[in-house]
Amino acid sequence: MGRITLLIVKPIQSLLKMMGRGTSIPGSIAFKLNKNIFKYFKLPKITICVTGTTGKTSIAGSLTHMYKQAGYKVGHNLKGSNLLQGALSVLIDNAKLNGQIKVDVLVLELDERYVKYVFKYLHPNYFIISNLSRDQLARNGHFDVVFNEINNSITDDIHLVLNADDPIVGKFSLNHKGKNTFYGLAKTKLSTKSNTNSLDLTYCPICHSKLNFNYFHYGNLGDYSCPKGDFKRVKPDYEAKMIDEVSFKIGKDVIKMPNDALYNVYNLTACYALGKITGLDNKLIVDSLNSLSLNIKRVNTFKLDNIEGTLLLSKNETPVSYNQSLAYIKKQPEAKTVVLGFTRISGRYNLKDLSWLYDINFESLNDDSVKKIICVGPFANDLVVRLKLASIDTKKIITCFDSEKMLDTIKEKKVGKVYCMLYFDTEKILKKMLVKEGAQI
Amino acid sequence: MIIKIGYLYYDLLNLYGENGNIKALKKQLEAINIKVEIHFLTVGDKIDFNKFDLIYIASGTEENQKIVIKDLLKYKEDLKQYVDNNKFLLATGNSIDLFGKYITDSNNKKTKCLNLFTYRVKQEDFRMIDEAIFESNIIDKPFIGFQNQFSVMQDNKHHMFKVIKGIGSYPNSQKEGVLYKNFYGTYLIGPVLVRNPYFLEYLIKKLVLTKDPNYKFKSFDLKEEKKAYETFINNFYKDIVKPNV
Repeated sequence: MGRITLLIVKPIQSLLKMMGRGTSIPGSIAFKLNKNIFKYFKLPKITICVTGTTGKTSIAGSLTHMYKQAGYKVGHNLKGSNLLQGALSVLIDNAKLNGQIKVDVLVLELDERYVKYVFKYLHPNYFIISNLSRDQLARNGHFDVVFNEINNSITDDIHLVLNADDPIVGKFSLNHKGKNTFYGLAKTKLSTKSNTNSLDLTYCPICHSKLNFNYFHYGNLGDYSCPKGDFKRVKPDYEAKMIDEVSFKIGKDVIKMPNDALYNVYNLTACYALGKITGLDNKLIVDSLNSLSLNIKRVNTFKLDNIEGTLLLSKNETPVSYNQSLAYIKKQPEAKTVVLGFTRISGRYNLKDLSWLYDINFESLNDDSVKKIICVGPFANDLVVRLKLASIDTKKIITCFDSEKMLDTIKEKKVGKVYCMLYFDTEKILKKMLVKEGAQI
Repeated sequence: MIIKIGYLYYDLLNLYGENGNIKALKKQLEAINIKVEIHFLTVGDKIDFNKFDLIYIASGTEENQKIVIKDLLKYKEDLKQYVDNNKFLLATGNSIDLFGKYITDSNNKKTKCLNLFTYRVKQEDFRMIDEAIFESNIIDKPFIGFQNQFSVMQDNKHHMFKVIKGIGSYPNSQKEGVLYKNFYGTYLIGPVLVRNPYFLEYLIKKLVLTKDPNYKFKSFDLKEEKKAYETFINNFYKDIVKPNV
C-alpha cells in the first residue's frame, strides 16, 4: 500500500515542483490515500525535529547547511510547511519506492501544535526545543496547553536537545527517561536582574515555590533555581560565552553571529550541540556555522527620496519577538519615527483579540529619540491607546487608518529615520508602494 | 484622596495582558487628581484586605490557579467580609472560578474554592475561544472583549451580563459574569477596562463616591479609549450592536 501511495504521489510532486508550487500538497494527498504511510518510511540514522516559539526555522535551516557542509545528503522542509502534511511531503520527496529515505540526515521543522500529530507516526532520534512562551493565544489557549501536548508526545527513545535557559523547556527533562542534552548562554554584560514583562514560568513546577532568577537574558530566559532545590537551570553541556557583541565561544571554539541579537546565540549553539552529538568534527561545525552569517541580514532597509527606512519583523501575538524588535529600535541612537500597524491580527484566523498588546513592552518607545509614532490600519486607535498607557505623549502619535495612505503619511510626518514594525499583511502594502515609487529596498 | 489597589497574584495570574487594567485605573484616577497606590501581592504575602479600596485578580493557567487557590483559601473569611462590606473587587478571566464552590478539572479532580458564590466550575478538555459582546444593566454601552478558557460555569445566581455574542458562562449560554454588591467578575480576558472605557468611568465614579459622596469630579482622560471602542464596534459589530455614538 505504501508503494502504491508513493507511485501515485511522487509524479504529482514532480509536476508541482515544475510548476513551482505547493510544498505540502503531496503530503496532503498521500495522507488522504493512506493514513499509515508514515510507517512505510525507513528513516535515516539522523532524523532531527525542531520546534519552539521562536528560532525553529533558523535552527532547521542552519542544521541543513551544517550537515551539507559536512558532506551529508540532507532532506529539509521549507519554512511554512511545518505541519503534518509538510513533514510528510519531505519524506515523500526523499523516499525511494521501497520507503527507504535516501538522505543521510532529515531535518524537520515542526509547528508546536503539530508535534503531537507528527510524533504519532514518526519518532526522530533528536528533538530540539528552542523555547516556549506566550504566542498566538487565540489559537493556542496558553503555553501550558502547548507544553502538555508536546510533553505527552515525547517518548524515551527520543534524545532531547533543550535550551537550558528556558524554564518551560527545562520541564521537558523532568520525566524524560531518554537522553537529554542542554545548551545555553552564560551570564553576559547585558544580563538583567529583573524583568518587568509578564513572565510565563516563575514558580517551581514541582514544589510551587517562587523561582529565584539570578539574571535574565530576555523574556523568561535566564538562570533560575527553586529555593528548595527541586528545579533549576541545568548546567549546559554546551554553554556559549559572549566574547563581544557579535561573537561567542563554546569551549575553545569561536563562533561569529550574523548580528548582535542574542537569539542568534541560542540558534547557533543548538546547532553546535547537534553537530557534536552526531559526531561532527569541531572545526567543521565552527566553519559551517560561521559561513552562515554571510547570508543573513538583520534588517531590511529602504531608501526613497529623503526617507531612510528600516523594516523590522513584527509578529503580532508573539511578545518575545515583538519585544526584540522594539529593543532594537530603542538601541538606535538617532532621532526617529516608528511606524506600527497591522490589517489583521492573525494570518491564520479571524479572531480579534487585542490582549497581547499589553504583554508587549511598548514602554520602550517612551524615549526622547522617538519623535513620531504612526499607527496604521483598522486597529490604529487601539495602538494609540496602548501607547498612551505606556505614558507616551499622544501629541507624538499619528493615526493612518487607510493603509494605502501610509507612505504619504510617512513622507509628510516623519522626523529622522523611519523604523517600520508592520505585520506582514501591512508591510506587503508598504513594500508595493515603495517599489512603485522606485525606492531601493 | 488616595485609592489603594491590591493586584492579587500579579506574577501567577497574568496570562493575557491584564496589567493593562492596572495601567488604565492608575491613569484615570490620576487624571481626576486622585493618588493611587498599587500593591503587587502574591503567594506568601500577608494580605490585609481592609487596607484596599479595590482588589484586582486576573486569568492564569490551570496549574497556576491551583497554586493560587491554596494561598487564597487562607483569606476565605476576609474576602467574604470584604465583599459583604460593599468593597470593590474586579475579577477577569478564569479568576472568577476561584470564588465559586469548587473547580472540577479535566481529570475530574475537585479543588475546593472560596465558596463566596454558589456556582461550580468544570474545566473541559477543549478550549473555548471567541470574541464577545455582552450587555449589562449597569451601563448603556455594550461590553466588548474576548474569551479564552477551559472553564464552564454552572449554577451562577448573580449574572452580570446578557450574551449578545460569544461563549458566555458555557457554550451557547445566554448569560455571563458575576455581579454582587461591588464584586464585578467576568470571563472576559485581558485589558477589559481599557477596551470598555465607559465601564472604567462607571467603576471609578462608584468607587470614589463610596469614599467621598461629595467628590467633585474633574473630567476623565478617555478620549482615545472611547474612540478606539467606537471604532472597533463600527468596524466589526455594526450589524450586531448600536454603538450609541
